[in-house]
Amino acid sequence: MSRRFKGLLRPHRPHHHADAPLAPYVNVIVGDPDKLSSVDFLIDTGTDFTILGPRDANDLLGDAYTTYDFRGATSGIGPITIGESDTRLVRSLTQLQFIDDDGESSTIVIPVGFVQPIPAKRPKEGQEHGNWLMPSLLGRDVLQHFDLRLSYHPPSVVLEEASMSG
Amino acid sequence: MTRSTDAEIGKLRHTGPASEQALAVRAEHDRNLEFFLAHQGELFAKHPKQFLLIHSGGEVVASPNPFELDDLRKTFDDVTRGGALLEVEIPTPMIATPFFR
Repeated sequence: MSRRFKGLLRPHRPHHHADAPLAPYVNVIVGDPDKLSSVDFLIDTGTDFTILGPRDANDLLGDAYTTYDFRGATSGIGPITIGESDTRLVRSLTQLQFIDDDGESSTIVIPVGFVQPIPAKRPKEGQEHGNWLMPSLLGRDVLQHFDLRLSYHPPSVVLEEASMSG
Repeated sequence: MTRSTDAEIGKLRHTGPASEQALAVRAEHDRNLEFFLAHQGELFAKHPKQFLLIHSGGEVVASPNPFELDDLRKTFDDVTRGGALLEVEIPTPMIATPFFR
């Protein structure tokens, strides 16, 4: 049986404009059993790889994230373009767990991108936020396993396991 | 980040009932989300240009500094922390809400 995972339309973070359409999000449990994090991912068909935004990455990894030397990584890293800026990221195998309304789960382990935070340390009050308010993005590496159903009238966001998925 | 066999990587697998902790986190998240959806109009009106942290099924903390909310969230137990809803910066003027009805 094909499982369905519901998302929702909600304001896009950060800085949602009053006249902007709502954006499709889905909640995913990220990480190992000893450290679970609940992350609301923006469903982004324009993104190749799933990416954790800095705030979500910081929540999952703590100080290991803000002290990581992104320049020194030797594999799975390279300057890539996110939006209009050159930003480095590290891709690390990470577990994503989708839970349906019956409490059943489907899990995928993929290399998730951890964006180099700019500024490196979490901004203090009054400082520019840099990319720290960037949302986490659910990219095509995950979306390819689902049929995505998106409707604004009536509002509905559903990820249904594609029949071809392994 | 995680331990997995090569055969599992990149494959979406049915993994049965979610763990109690994962279900608790999800339930807490959904509870907070329901509260937000039911009260977003008044939240937007009451907290313009602020970020919101919604936890424990309807406790709302507003701040112009989102990182202050992150710090507060870290003080919660695992389920409350995991299920807490970090909301957008509230726009001004208030967003129309018919999509949620």
